[in-house]
Amino acid sequence: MKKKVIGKILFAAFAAALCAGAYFAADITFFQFGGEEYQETGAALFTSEWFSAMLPFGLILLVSAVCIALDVLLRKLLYKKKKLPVGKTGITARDKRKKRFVFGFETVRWGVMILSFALLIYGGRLFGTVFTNVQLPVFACPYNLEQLTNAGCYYFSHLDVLFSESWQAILAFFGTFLVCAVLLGRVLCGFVCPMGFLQDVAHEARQALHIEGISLNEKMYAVLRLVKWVMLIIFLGVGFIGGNFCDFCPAAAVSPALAGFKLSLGLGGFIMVIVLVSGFFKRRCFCNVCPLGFILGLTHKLSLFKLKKNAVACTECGACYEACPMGIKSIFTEREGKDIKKLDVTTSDCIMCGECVRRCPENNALAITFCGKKIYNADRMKFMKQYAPKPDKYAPFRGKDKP
Amino acid sequence: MTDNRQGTPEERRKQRFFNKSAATSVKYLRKIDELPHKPASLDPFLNILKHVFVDMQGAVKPAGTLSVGTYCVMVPPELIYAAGAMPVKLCGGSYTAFNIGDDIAPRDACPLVKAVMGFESIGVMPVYRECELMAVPITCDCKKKLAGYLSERRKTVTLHVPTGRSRDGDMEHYVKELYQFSEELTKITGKPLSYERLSWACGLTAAAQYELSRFIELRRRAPLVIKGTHYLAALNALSYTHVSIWTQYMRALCDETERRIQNGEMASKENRPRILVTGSPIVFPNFKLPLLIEEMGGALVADETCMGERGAYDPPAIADQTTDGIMRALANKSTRPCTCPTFTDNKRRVYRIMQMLEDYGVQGVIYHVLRGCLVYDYEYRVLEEEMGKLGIPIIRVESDYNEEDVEQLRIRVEAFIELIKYGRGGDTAVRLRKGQR
Repeated sequence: MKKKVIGKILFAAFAAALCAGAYFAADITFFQFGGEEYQETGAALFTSEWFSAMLPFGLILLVSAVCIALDVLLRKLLYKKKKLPVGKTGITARDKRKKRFVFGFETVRWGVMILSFALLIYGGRLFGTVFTNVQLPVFACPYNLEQLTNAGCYYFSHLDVLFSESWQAILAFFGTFLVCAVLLGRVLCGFVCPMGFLQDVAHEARQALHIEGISLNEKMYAVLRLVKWVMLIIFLGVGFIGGNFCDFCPAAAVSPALAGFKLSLGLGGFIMVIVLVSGFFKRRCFCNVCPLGFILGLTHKLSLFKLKKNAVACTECGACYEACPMGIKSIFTEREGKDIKKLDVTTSDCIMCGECVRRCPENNALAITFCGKKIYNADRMKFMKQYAPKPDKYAPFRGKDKP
Repeated sequence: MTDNRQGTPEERRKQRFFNKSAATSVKYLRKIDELPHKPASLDPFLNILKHVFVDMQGAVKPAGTLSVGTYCVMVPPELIYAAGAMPVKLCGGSYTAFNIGDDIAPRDACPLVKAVMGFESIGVMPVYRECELMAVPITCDCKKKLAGYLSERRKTVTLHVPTGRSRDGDMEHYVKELYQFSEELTKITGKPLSYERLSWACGLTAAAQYELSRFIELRRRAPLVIKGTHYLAALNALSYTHVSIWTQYMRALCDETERRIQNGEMASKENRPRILVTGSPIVFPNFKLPLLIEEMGGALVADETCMGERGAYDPPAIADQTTDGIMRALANKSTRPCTCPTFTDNKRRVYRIMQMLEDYGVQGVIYHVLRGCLVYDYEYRVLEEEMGKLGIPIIRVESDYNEEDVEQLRIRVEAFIELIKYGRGGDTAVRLRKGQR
């Protein structure tokens, strides 16, 4: 009982600190940069100016790397003598066996992510700002003026600014948002958002190093959900009380810097370190608390992309839940419904990353559909190919007592 | 009076055991061998069974590999291979051992456990003797008491399987059990848990599961391409074989099956009623039920038993390429998809069987219950209800580990097959296979 009260007080304190941080974010800078004038164009790539603009981001990467290394070392020290090292074996390894490459949805997703990352950061430089009226609802910082489109995050976090615009602008904003949300929904999170891409890169780095992460369970996801609500209130409301979300938005530390725009590091840079480190240990951790993603997910019932489950084919092995970066449990527990062979298991959290379908070992048990047409289907043979070595590389039998 | 018999009474008893159990095994092996349309690549599997049960040799493995005895599908073989040992599934099917175990276990205990206790008490089977460690998951009551019995004589690890699966805590609990198990394994093999070894072991079993999946896919395309009894024998052989050897045999079997499908050579005629067997495990040499089905003119197209296809069916889905990630994946695959009736909620078993009905065009279900196997008996009612809705005939068949009930079984199985042949079931199956409900 007491523990619960303490937990609630701690959480309230954390939320209050977050809100206060959001409000005073502009005053908290941990890396001051000379010359705060608003740049019109980014520095040319690989010039000294570009490198100096990259400096804050480089610092973030460095601090994150140090944090991760410290964490791994600390864990090794702390749990050295632990009797039962559940999740804390501290084993890091280099696996020399080559994994079989299987072309699939995952490959396409990575391709799209890299492409959109490049376009959102350098697209304007190549093609000019093409879609001036489209406010793509992803965290691609609008301080970077050389993006292909505008980022919708700005108006959402500055609703006061939006409402002072003309009604056409307001209509255009909500119109494009609705179209994006219905057509794509949180597919934008899984495929387009540069923040998501960075977190996925951090996750892949951990996979390559085989460092143990943090496996969340229901309770921890519930805490993250609470954090998400606080973030959402700050995201939508901080503009009305005179704050500026951009002062503490982690995305502000990324895309302007990469494009060569000089920006000082405020609280946002600090939060970006948290995003990278947490994303390293828990896949897409920030996406779990992302306010913009939550707003995008609201329309999941109308979205054209759906996740369908065949409850009869499903063995409820929980692989999808284990693989899901968003911790959606209903995908594995759902089994009753009107048509048990075509259950709609899309939730507002789903970012359509396709991990669940990729890890699903049952034919047709899970599928991603677009306008009712299956575009990615679970397949047992494909699943097995990810794990099994090629038949000619099976471990040979060496022994005398062969029957 | 002179006693011209050789050896002490104890030795003579052991010799009698050897002779009797070998005779039973030889008989059933011959019956399996004599079934028509046996693929040539099945022989290695039958040789393994012969090696273990007739020649009374140990498990088939590379020299110097330690054996670890396991009892249910909840023990992940990957963990044992990673420690450098090999798992041997010791669930017994021997009638001779059952008779010995009958004196140890209470009357109503299931024959499978009685057989295991019999093997343990007489202590002559090398497959049992050579095990350095016994891993018993605590599933049904009989297995629970078996764990107690074994721990009095052998080094035994118990794995506490959660009885529910919907909470995250249940799975996390099993992860803990697996870590404990791995520590015990390290004590006997001296090889500590490491990512490289785990990942290598997962690759080893994945190769086997890849071949098994290939076979399942082939069989879904042509359910009649192999006799179910032959398939069951091949999967029973996995229990006593190092997985790398079994993979190669399975690959040959897959290749031959593929050729047969291309040539249109089926093992049974198209008009034979297609039967699915589910329920209590069918362990060699207790092959009377599958043999009866096949002798009575049925085609055993699928099985949902844990010494059959289920034993190696579920692959670990490794979402996180780390030591802990693999351990979680192993715990996940050992408990969550398991259709063992010892779990409180087991709707997935009904769904699994419904999927199999569709995949193989099953026309009738035979529910095998070993006498005293309560948990499987409980689930018969649920399944009967569901099958009633689908219009698939189902029959409950109870048997024990002796040959006295063969004729009774024969009558029931024959009647059931006739029922499908000339009555209900046929058109439903056709509808199901076409995917209409």
